[in-house]
Amino acid sequence: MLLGKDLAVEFRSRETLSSVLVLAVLVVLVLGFAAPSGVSAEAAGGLLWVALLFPALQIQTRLWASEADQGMLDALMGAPVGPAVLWLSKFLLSVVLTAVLALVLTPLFLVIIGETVRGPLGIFLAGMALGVIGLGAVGATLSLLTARMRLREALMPLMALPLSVPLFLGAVVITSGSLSGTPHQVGLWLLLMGVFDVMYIALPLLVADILMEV
Amino acid sequence: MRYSQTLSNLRWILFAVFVVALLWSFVVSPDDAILKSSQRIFYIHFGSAIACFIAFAIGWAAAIAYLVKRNLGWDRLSAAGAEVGLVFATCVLVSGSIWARVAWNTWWTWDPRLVTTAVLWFLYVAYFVLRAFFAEDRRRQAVAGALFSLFAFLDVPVVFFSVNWWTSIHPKVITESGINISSPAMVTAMMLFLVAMILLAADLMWLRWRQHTLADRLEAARAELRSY
Repeated sequence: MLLGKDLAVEFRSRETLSSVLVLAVLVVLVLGFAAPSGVSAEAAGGLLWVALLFPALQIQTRLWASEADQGMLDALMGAPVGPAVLWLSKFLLSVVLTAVLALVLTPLFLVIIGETVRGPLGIFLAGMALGVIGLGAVGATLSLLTARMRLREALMPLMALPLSVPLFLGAVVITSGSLSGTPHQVGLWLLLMGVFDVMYIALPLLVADILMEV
Repeated sequence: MRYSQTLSNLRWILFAVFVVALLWSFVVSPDDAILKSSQRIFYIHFGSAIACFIAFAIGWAAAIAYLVKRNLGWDRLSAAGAEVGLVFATCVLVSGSIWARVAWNTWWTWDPRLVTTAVLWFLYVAYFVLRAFFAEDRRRQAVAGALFSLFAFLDVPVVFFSVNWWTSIHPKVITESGINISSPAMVTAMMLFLVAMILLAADLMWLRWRQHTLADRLEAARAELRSY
């Protein structure tokens, strides 16, 4: 129900997604200008994730903003559901919005850079999905930590980027491997990303009541 | 007062250990067969690395203790541990980089340990920015700091493993097989510096902890004064 509320708000105002999608398209265009003759498949995976990362951070910074700006965080705490459920609904919203971003950005990126998925599509999609889920989890947690802060836009990337290094490495290796058609050690990296995702979903759920306090 | 008198007496021991460690590593310890004298920076590097991880671990444990007990004393210890850890992490990165320039002919390489230390460094910089942004609300600052510290420290082993696998795919990684501690004098120098660095870290942490305590007391006194 909470997810439904957030999705309805987002759908009606489209304030987050519209600006973020424009930003994402611009990033891809800039990358296209920067590499007019295309890049190697190995580098393309990294570029795709860099292009995804910054708009995704933009989404996640805004996750709790409407509640915090209108002083509704305390009201939410009074809702007849636990803080873990509140976090979970924001996490799902974060994943849905980031997934929309990835769905728009990835094909556009591949067209502009001139690459195709040469490896198995399933592995490519699994890497994208685990990456999006992990970013969503880290983002939902950190944006709650900074929700009541005036300068949260400045702080979010500072905390999120180093924290998601393992996820990012896994995502880049899987994506680059799928694009070039010869993915290496796929199981290992998918496992690592899975562990990262589970860790950053379980931890906030465990400390959700303390998170809401901040 | 008597308490700090004892401590400044103890500080002479720290000073003495440092002098002995410096003498040992620069005079007694022999030149490395390949790296010659440049190898000596390793003593500082190793001691700093261990002291850094001890300080971070104390900071992390104190953060958890704060979340459980909600006593600001734990938060002050946690902040002190993180601060001292960050100072030593900087020493580790700088001394390691200088050593690598001579030994590996590069300032930086994507070795798992290097990347993990660098990520750790950035995480704790973010920790202090987070704390600074919450400066006006002491309790909220403590909770936010402790939570981020909890997430950040748990990230470290995952970072290490991931970078390990990542570099193992790239064949160009330079390993540390160049280090060869065969001389007992070298091991002694290493151990002396280890003790010196840990003592220094402990002393710095104590000082920072006391400063935080005094700052909190001062703030409490000010608040009381304002209420009249």
